[in-house]
Amino acid sequence: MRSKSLKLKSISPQKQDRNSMRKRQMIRVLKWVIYIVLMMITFVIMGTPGLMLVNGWKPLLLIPLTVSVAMFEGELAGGIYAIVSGIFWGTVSDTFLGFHALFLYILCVACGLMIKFYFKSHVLSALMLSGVSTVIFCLADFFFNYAMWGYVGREALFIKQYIPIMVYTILVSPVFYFLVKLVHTKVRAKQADEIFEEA
Amino acid sequence: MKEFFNSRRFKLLIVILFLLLGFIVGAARIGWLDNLPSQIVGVVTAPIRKLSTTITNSATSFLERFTKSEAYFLENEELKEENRLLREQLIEYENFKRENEQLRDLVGIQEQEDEQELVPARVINRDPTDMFYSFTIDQGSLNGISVGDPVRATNGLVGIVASVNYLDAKVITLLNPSIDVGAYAISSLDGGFVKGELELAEGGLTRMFSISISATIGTGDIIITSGVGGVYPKGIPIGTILEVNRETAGTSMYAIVEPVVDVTTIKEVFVITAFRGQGGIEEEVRESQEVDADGSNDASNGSDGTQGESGDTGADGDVPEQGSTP
Repeated sequence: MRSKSLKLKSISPQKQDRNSMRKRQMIRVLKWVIYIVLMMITFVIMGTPGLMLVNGWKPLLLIPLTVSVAMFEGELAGGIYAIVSGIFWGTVSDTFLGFHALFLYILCVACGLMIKFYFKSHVLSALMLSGVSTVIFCLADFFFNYAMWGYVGREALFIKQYIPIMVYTILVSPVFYFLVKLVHTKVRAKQADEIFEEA
Repeated sequence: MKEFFNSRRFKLLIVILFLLLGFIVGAARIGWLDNLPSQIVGVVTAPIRKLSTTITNSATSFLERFTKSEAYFLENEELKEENRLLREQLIEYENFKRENEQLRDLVGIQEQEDEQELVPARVINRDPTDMFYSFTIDQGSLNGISVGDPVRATNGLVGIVASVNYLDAKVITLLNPSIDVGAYAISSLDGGFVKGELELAEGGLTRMFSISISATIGTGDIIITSGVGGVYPKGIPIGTILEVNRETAGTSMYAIVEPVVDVTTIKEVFVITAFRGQGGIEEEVRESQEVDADGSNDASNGSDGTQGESGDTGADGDVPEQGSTP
């Protein structure tokens, strides 16, 4: 025990700084690994046939997830996360590659900035931002995939399919807000502990 | 806020946006760039998607035993009645078959076996915003699947492979407007082509176009693939005619078709990687030339071999309404 404390004392302050820096970086990396795993699980759940299917409608789960990450991690990190999520989504979609990435990026950057300048990070603001993002995304998807091509019956499709999908997505969005909040606060607490120990 | 627009962070966000736009334009122009993310994501997520599909399928089939028991009971009653009718038809069919075989023997025509190479696959992904019910299957180019391979279920046609990655492939269904399937009705032999429509896709229905105005096709007729063009094998059931109407121009008719396979919920399919008549007339001509080249010694056997080959080219020949089929 005595030798151990002696050893601890012999570590230079620069080395201690480096160690704690490395630890904090590790925690940050771990946080993003969790976010990526979360995104992959969400992507799989969203695409799995039959899962979360209600009357033929499925929620667009990647939208509330990316919006929530942008709310907690800021517009830049959230935007890049949205691009990765959008590319994942685009690979299983019939739309041109990059469509989902582009729209999610723009929406998440906007949401990140809204939280930075106008709103507080709260479940109600998450509900509102996810809702607006879902509506904009669905309108763009509907326009580029169906309305633009002049298909007969597109108005009925929007009412019978897109509106329920939007509502369903908005209803499940608080789940993602609390999930991302949990990851974010746990990591923050861990980082605070590190700083406290250091001090 | 004003400070933010002058900051380096804002400039970085704009640079990322332009890079993303560049990627989109590049992906549209360069084939491998478009394919690269799909290949990576396909490989990374394939095991999770398979696992998720297996769990979901088991759970839903378990729950359906309780939630759909009444529907299954009614369906069972309907199927019993259908079975009775089919048995009657089967007796008739067996008689016709025997008579047909006797006539074939008399004329000297050899029956061609319908050879299809099938790869079984499971549906592992569906995009919630795809209203034509396209899906992703768990077999890719490593399993011998390529773009343009027809996809079927045990009871009928499902669609066609639209794109392929190493471990998965995207399938567009009969409900999609970008699909064209040459088809004809079994009973009346009236031809046309089947093409999806947004209006009908929601209800899981599709449409048969370009039916001759003089056709006798009617409600309840079963339509099958004609094999014309060599994209789909001949004789795969497509669906049942629900109603027949005149086109607004009045020069032809169209029919609303209920596909035999419910492509909106299908879980397991077969990809046809090779079949007789694949590749269309050009391929058939090339094959028959090869047969002619090696098979001059068969000439002594009479016309059986060559007759059979040329007879088979007529996937087309079997469709009486050639003018109306694509």
